Parts: sequence; C-alpha cells; structure tokens
Amino acid sequence: MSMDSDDLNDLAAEYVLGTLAGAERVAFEARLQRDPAAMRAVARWASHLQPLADAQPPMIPPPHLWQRIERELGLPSRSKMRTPMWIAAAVAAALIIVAFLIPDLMFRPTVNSVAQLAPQGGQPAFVVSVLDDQKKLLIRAANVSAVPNQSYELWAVPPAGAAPVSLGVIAPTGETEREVAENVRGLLTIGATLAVSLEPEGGSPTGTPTTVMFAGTLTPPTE
Amino acid sequence: MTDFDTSSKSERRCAELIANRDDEFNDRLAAAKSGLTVRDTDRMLIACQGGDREAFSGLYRLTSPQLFGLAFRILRRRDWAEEAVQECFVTIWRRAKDYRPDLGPALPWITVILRNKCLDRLRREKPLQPLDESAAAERPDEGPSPLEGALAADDARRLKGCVDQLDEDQRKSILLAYYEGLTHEQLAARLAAPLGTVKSWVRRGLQRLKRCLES
Repeated sequence: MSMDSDDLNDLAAEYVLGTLAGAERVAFEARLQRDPAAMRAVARWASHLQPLADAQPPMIPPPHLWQRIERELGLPSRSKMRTPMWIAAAVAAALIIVAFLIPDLMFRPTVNSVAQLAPQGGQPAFVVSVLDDQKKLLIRAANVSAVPNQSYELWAVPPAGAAPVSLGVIAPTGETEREVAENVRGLLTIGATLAVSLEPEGGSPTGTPTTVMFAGTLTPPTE
Repeated sequence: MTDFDTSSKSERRCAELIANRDDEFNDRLAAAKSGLTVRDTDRMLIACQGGDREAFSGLYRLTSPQLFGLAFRILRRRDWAEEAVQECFVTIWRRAKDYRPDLGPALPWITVILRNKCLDRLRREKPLQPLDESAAAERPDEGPSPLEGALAADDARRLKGCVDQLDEDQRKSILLAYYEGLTHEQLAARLAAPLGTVKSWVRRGLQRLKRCLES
C-alpha cells in the first residue's frame, strides 16, 4: 500500500514535471482518466510546482491568438458575430450612400452663383443659390424669423439704378425653390445684387420693395 | 558552459522571485484588490464547464499572459508558444468538465495542460532546436503577474525554501526539466551524467521536495 502510493506519487511528480516520457507517459495519462488517486496525486504536484510557473514573467500574447482559439473551437462568440455584422452595416451604409450619391451626382444642379443676404453688418438671413444657368433659384432661410402678417420678398437689383425686379415671395423657414422667368435670368450674374424686403402678406403691393431688410451680392460658388 | 548558464538562469529566476517577494506580494495584493484573484480563475473555469463563453474569454484574458510567458520560456519560439497557448485553451474548453475543484485550484490544472502542450511540441520536433537567444531578448519588460492572489507569495517562498534544500544536481535537474522540458535522456546529455544517475537525481529530488512541502 505504502509502496503503491509512493510509486504513484513518483509517477505523478514526474508526469507533472515532464520527465515521464514515451510509453510510460501515455500509460499514466490513460490511468489518469480513471484513477482518482492518480488524479489527486497529479493535482497535488501541480499545486506544489505552480510557483515555478508563476515565477516566469508574463508576456502579452498577440491579439489574433484569441481569434484563432475561437475559430478552432467554432465558437460563434460575440466578437465573431461582431465582425460580419460590422461589415454588413458598413456595406449597407455604403449602399445607402451610393444610392443617394448616384442620383445626386447625376442630377446635381450646376450652381452658378451664391449670395448671402444679410442685414447691414449682420449674419446672413437667407442664402440664395442660382442654379442651372439662371433657370432656378434655391433660397435657404438661415437666420430669420417669420413676422406675422408679413412676407419676405426676394428681388434682383439691377445695376445703374434700374428698378428692382421681384423674384417672388419666399418662405422664412426651410428652402424655397423657384423657377426664374426667362426675362429675369440675365440679371442673375456674378456681382449682381439680391435683396429681401419685408412686405405686407402676399408680397409688395406696389411692385417695388417696401422695406429692404437684407441684401447681398452673387459670387461664384466656393465648390 | 552553456548548459550551466541555462540552469543557473532558472535558479536565478527562482532567487529573484524570492528576492522580490515583497514587491511581488504588493503587486499581487494590488491585483487581488482590483478583482483579479486566483479564485476568479477557479470560478471562471467552473463556469466554462457549463459552456459559459463569457467566462472562457475572461479566463483567457486573465491567464494567457502568464501562460504565454511560460510557453515562451519552455519553447523559445514565439510561434510555437502561440500554438501551445492556443492548443491549451482549446483543451481547456473541451475538457473543462475534467477539472475537479475539490482537488485543487484551477491555475495548476491549466498549467499542466499548457506544459503538456509544450512538451508535446518539443518532443515532436527532432532534433531539439537550439535555444533562441535572440527570441529571448525580445521578451518584454517583466511586469507584475495579474494572476493569483496574495496567497501565491507564500507558496513561492515555501517552494523556494524547499528547492534550496536540494542537492545541486537534484535542483538543476528539476529546474531544467521544468523550464526546458528536458527528458531524462536530454538531462543526462546536458549534465554529462549517466542516465541512471540523472533519473535518481530527479526522483530523489522530487521526493525530498514533497517531504519538505508537506511537512
């Protein structure tokens, strides 16, 4: 009995140390599967010698090692799921961008000029873009508030003191798109002045600006 | 000459461990306070038995630096050390149910698996690769081990005390076997001693260790 347990202890010790090799090692490993005494002896020696392992300085393994382990085990772990989902999200985002970009690129209007209409010394209240060879205007309300029972009206102001030409009533919020009458297009050149007046609701009753609030000059688009 | 250097290097590591005991103790205490204790590895491994992948990845984060360091020490090649750690964790996951918490803590159980993977690799490769000293040079700065609680320092002191009591030949044989995975035959060649003599150094050395540790 004592001899047996001594033998077992020796075997377990050399197994844990690693000097038990070849057929002896294979045989002992087989015994370890079914012999609780052998398991206990190995567990004891593993604990005894653990400080030798602890004495080694740790080294950080490369990040891909964990992925290799997951892959080999076929674990559909979160980080594994994350990659395809991330890719799918990226692809979807790319598709959405392309879907918006293609029409945008194909139908993007040509911007001829831009004017920032501001009060004297103030921030722009409206930004007006002249598009498609002066056929269209895009008016963006930037920093302006609606006035009850009043309307804002946009004007082209010709040089040399000619009378301003109405480009219509514009909304104080959001964007207004406006077709430009053929006879007015010639006024919307670089350097021309645009103005916005405050009018009674519905627009100027006289055909000339009542109170000019904001003004600016058409300049080439920055892009 | 090289042989002697190598074995004394192992001994030096052991001596350093003891010399730095207080520092290491404090480091480990700090690690324990931050929640990284040996009990965590036990709990995680037990959770792995139930297929808890979160616990498995936690166990990897907690133990892989120490295991990778040990594997590199034994194998002296990064690629082999990576493979050993990979094989080790594959085995941990597949055989987690074999772990018996009543027989001892998780970490020694894991270390046995890792060292077996390393030994398998060493014994598969013939002839044994020469020590890769350039690879040894790339070892990063030694940091405190995140493993183990404050308990470990006591265990280390105890083991060191018992290793110190061994004869020179016994000590050298055991440390070379542990850190370089040498077989009896390789030990005999390395220490230029007859096979039977080396076997007896190892066996008697281990027996004395046990008596000392369990006294």
